[in-house]
Amino acid sequence: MLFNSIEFAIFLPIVFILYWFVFNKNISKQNLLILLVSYVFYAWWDWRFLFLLAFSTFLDYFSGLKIEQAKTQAQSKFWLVLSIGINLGFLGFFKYYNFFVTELTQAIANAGIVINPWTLKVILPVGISFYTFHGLSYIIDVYKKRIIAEKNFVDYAVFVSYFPLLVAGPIERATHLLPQFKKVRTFSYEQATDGLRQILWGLFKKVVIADNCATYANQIFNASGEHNGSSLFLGALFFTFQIYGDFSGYSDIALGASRLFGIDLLRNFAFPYFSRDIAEFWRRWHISLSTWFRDYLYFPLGGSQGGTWMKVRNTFIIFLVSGFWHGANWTFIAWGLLNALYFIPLLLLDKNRNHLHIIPTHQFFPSIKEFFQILFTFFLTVIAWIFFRSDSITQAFSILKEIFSKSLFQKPNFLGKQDMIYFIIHCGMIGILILAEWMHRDKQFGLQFNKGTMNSVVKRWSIYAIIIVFIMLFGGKQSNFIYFQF
Amino acid sequence: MSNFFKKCFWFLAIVVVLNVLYLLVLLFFSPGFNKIYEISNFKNQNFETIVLGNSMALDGIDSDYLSKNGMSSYNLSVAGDHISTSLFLLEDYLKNNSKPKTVVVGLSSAIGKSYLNPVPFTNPEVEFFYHPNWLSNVTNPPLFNFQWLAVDLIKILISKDHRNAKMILGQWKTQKVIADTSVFKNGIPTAIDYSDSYLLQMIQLCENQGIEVILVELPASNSNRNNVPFQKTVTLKNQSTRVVYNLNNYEVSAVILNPATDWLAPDHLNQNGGMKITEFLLKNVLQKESKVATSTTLQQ
Repeated sequence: MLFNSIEFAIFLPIVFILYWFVFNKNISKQNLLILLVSYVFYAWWDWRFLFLLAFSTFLDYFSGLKIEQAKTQAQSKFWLVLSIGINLGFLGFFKYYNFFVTELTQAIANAGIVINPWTLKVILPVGISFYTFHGLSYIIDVYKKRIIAEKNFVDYAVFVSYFPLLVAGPIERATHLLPQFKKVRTFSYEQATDGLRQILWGLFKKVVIADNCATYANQIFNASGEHNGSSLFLGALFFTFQIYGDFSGYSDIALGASRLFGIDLLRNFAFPYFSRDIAEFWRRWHISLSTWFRDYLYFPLGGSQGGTWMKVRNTFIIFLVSGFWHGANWTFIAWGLLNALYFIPLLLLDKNRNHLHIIPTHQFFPSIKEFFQILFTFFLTVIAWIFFRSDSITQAFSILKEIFSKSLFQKPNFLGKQDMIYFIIHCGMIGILILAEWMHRDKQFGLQFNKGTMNSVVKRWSIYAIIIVFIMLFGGKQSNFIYFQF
Repeated sequence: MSNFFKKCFWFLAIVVVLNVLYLLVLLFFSPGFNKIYEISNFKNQNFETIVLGNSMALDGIDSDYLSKNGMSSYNLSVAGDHISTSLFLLEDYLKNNSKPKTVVVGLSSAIGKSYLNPVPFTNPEVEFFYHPNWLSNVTNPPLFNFQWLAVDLIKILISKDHRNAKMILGQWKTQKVIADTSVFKNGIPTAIDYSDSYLLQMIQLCENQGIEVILVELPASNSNRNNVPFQKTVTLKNQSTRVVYNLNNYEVSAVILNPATDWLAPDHLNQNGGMKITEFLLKNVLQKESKVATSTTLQQ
């Protein structure tokens, strides 16, 4: 069930009413309801993979208990390794099996031996990367004694399969989310209305920004050989906004929907395109994944404690794994490595924690220095997204070659095939996105108004009306969220 | 909680009001939308000739010219139509109005299979007026259902040509000129499949009611023209044959149309081009066919 579908628009109010009016007397019943509707939500795609989700949930629940009950460190470690092994085994099989088989076959063929690879038509279960990482964080936290193992299976299962975050995150931590399912939730008017605003903003980003940008990005990337440098750069720009609108839009809807049930989820995006360097970008982009890797991979590897070489090595590993997490393709690995290359100089110069806070909001415009820092960081991310969006490394390099040529200064040849009115409208929508998010950069999302300036009900509701019109009138064709494939 | 429900109610109310307002704006300011509303209310009309087709016929066949030259006409073409919708519009017209003498079907094979697409598709505007359905208006509200009309409204707002354009007897008449700079490709034309079941149904419906059907391939920009003869015999789904008048023949359309003055967009004629094509059609096809039909009737 897509967040931007009529089914979800019916599903959410029904769950809301059942949650607050029918099952409100008892948190166990509320949790059971959430679990059931989450499974319905997931089954809407493919009910067969419910068994995988249920098995993964049960495995981690059982392993958590066993780890806690283990009398020796070896026993505890056995259950940890077993759980991690099976979880990663499923993830590896569904996500990476064909990639490894194909690459291995190619390597063997290069050595002169031809074999017929045994590839499978594997369907990637939606959200497997996300719920696997939920489970892993829980198991590791139990093993590290950061939390005690959850005894109530329903509560644990809700933590793994909570529908707002089930298929594309944010990747939650047991330490943050599980306690919320253990205590009584009370309805908060402010939280719920803010949640609705966040849903509205998320829909705008997904339907108006991402889906329209996708049309242009697809046209350009799917025929990259036919376009000049300026068109290809436009394509990369459109993809930059597409992926942001798509993923942060999804996260906004997830966070907003969750707030309707009195549950706070981890923030996933904090206006990353206003970052002044790449380190700040990575503190603001897909925050739940970055911090997951930091806590469960970077720190265990030694983090930045072991000298320069160790820092560089660990940073490379983090970005490499992060790239590979996105998908079984060399392009994602290249994207990760390129970001590592951007990041390492800041790390070596000890400037990776220069910008811990967003540009202050006491003045509307950034300083000239900040403006150019933002522009440069944005440019670096646009270049990196070319690898992410391309079908192959070869395509990415040929696009870059064309962009860094004289044809960058020609009129974009792609514009000749466009209805310019639509093009101007869509560029205007991107402008509105940037403006709204810049004005509210100290808030959680672009439609969280400043109290001083937006006290007037008429003003606020006029903005809601305009956004509704934009979503309905200029929304692109309904399409899947990019991150579902990860 | 009650405050929250009140807010939700107001939110939904705003969504409804915005959609209703949009419908009103379309009715008043969108000529195409208004035309469908108008034809859905046609009663006891007495047109001699009815034109059917999609946007190429909507722009390209001048019913006003035909009417002024003694053949009272209405252009029932709708932009983006499939022939199945044209058939439906014709059936509905025949139910509520006097039968015409002639039906001109403006085929648009030059720009692909949209009109004779093997897979039929519905027209949202026609569906809205002819098959009103509350549920579909809720699941697919007007703001979403008629997205493209908003862009047409913006064009009307910002462009004088669009503001001055008029819907006259069902034909979209505009003086806007975008020269056709494309070049004729003298290649082998793609064979056009006329075995569409809706086309056959339309012809049979007319024949059963004694209405003459004229099939016309409308002219496209230079690059989409062909070398197929002006009069060609085509085979229909039931293996019967019909004559199609091919105005998309390169030589014929090159004589009639001026690439510098007669186009409003690729493959779409402006009012100059529409009038020239209609004049040619009247003299070389409609009047001749009319004479043949009259003499056949007299002989019988």
